[in-house]
Amino acid sequence: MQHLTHKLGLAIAGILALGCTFDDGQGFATLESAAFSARFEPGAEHDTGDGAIKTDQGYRVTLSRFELGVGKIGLFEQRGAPSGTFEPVVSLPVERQVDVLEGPLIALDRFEPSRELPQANITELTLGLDALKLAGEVSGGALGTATAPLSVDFILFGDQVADLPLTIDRDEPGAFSLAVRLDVDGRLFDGVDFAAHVSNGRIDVTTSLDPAGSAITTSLAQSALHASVD
Amino acid sequence: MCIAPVVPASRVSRFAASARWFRTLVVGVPIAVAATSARAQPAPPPVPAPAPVPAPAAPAAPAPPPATDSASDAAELEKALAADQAAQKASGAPNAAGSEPTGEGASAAPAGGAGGQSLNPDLSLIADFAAAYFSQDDNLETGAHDPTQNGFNLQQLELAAGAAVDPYFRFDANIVFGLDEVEIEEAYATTLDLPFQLQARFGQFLTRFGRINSMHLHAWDFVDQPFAIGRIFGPEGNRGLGVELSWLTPLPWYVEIVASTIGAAGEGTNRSFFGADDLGVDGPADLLYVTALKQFFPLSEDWSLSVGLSGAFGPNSTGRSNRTDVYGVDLFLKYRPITRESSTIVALQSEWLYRRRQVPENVLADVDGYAQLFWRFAQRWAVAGRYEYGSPVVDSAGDVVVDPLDPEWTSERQRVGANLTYWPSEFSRLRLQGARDMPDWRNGIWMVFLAAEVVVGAHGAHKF
Repeated sequence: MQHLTHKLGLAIAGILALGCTFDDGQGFATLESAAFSARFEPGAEHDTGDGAIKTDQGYRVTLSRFELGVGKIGLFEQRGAPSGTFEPVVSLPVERQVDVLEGPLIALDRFEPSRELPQANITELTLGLDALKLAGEVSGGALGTATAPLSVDFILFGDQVADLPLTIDRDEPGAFSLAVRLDVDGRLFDGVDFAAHVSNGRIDVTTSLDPAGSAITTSLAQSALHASVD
Repeated sequence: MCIAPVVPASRVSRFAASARWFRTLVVGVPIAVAATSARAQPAPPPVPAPAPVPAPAAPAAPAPPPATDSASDAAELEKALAADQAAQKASGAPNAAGSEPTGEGASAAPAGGAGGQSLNPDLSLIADFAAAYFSQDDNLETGAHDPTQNGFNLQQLELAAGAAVDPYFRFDANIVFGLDEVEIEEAYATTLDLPFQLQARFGQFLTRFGRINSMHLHAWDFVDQPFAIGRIFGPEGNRGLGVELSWLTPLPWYVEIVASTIGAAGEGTNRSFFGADDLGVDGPADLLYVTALKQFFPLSEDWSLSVGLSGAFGPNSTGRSNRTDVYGVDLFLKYRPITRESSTIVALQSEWLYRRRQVPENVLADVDGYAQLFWRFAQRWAVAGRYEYGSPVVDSAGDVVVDPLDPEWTSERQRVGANLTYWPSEFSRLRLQGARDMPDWRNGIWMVFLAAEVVVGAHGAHKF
């Protein structure tokens, strides 16, 4: 009888021990870390070799400040392909001004809704830019030997997009790290006629709607956005 | 489907086949067509020898038996039992152990010999209709066979078939028809002659989690399903394709241990597990395991108590290896006087379920349950009342959070209901039910049902 009771007790304990929901759950993949950097590389075609940039209209632009306001980075999957909508899988808030000239690596530590990612078929990464601040001076081109202080400060709208094929399911990737890099090149001021924007000896661009702002925005949008997972 | 228990020959010795036990089974289960048969349905509460114990009686389905004289009942039943046994001997059907076949499983075996048994399975049709009124069209009924709309509802038309396959297996199937759909509710084989008090089932079956999950609609004391079952397992209740093994322990009181494994997918059957997101089966951890411990205590000649513990453990689809556990406790206390002539039945039934789900970076938990009291106060009349409760979902910190399965369920839900049942005969039932659903997150809902059930064909006794 005692033997049977013991067995019964073991059976009950076994039933209860089957439960394993004591620890927090996980997603299908864990985004262990994420980092972002933006850097300015004029390229041989635009680099004058003395710290200035040569534009397609012959201007020389020397930058002392180049900051991008970065809102967030998002990973998206397309649902209902091929014409379906892109739905966010995870969002990585950056929400800071990034010094492009220095190009520091920024570690991202916020993940929305969670660093534990659901099952998804990610196809693209977006980088939300919300502000551009430039300072420096411009010479050459239609300005001749004159030098005009340059100030660019306006709000940006829209996202940079990069392909990022990444399947998240029960088999892969498990855990991964994300690295995002924006390379702005020397074409940034191509198409800008600085002389036409000189006012009181200065060049102030305060909106993306005027010709200079529009040209800079268009060039910025052509910057290479790289995304990689490891 | 009302089917009396199949009792493997090896188990029969433990069923004190006294007239009293058989009478209780038949009386407790109103439309026991063949009282001399022991039929396939796992987990019939047996009577541990030596004390004869009444089988835990099931909720009446659909009609209460007429109150008859117990002495004459016993005599008739014993006579019929003896006749069956004689027929079985005459048929010469063997069983695995080489012992005498016992129960319908053997008697209905397709021997086609002297027993004169038909090769056709027992067939029955059970139709459940309901006229319903909801004070709000957007009601919160969770059962697949619940009335859900104002006006007339076909809850289900069930075709039940069952017979012994051979001396080793019995097969039962319940095919449910809706107006626009057909579903295989259950289709399973049950072993008839495993040794060591073991019994196995395989196929598609309702798991034996708790009490009401494995009962069919027409065995319920209420028109609709407790919302706890729909919330946790899904509209159809917990079921799936799989295998089940039960062991009737040799303890002095009735103790049965049940273990089964089924697929974890199914929006209508396993919504707390894989549910609609079938992630496939890569290994044993991707299956759903249901265990139960069922105990029965004959408190006296007139009182009986059944107590069960259940667990369902399986994967859920929110993560790579996230799990869901559901723990259940059930109780069934029944008063059915057999020491004097009476049609009275009073039954208290209650089940409570505690669910824990791993989700990314959290664990969600909630509690659901119900308690109901059934009183058959006259031969053809009964009343019943039910209280139901469902908690909001809390996270591991105890804070109420939004449940991804039921986003609107952000606070308590309670429902109270009562009904009056009338059985014109043993094969038909009328039930008037009213209820007030009180979800805290929205306005309350009144609901009134007038349900009718008719049964034709051989529909045996439901399990206890």
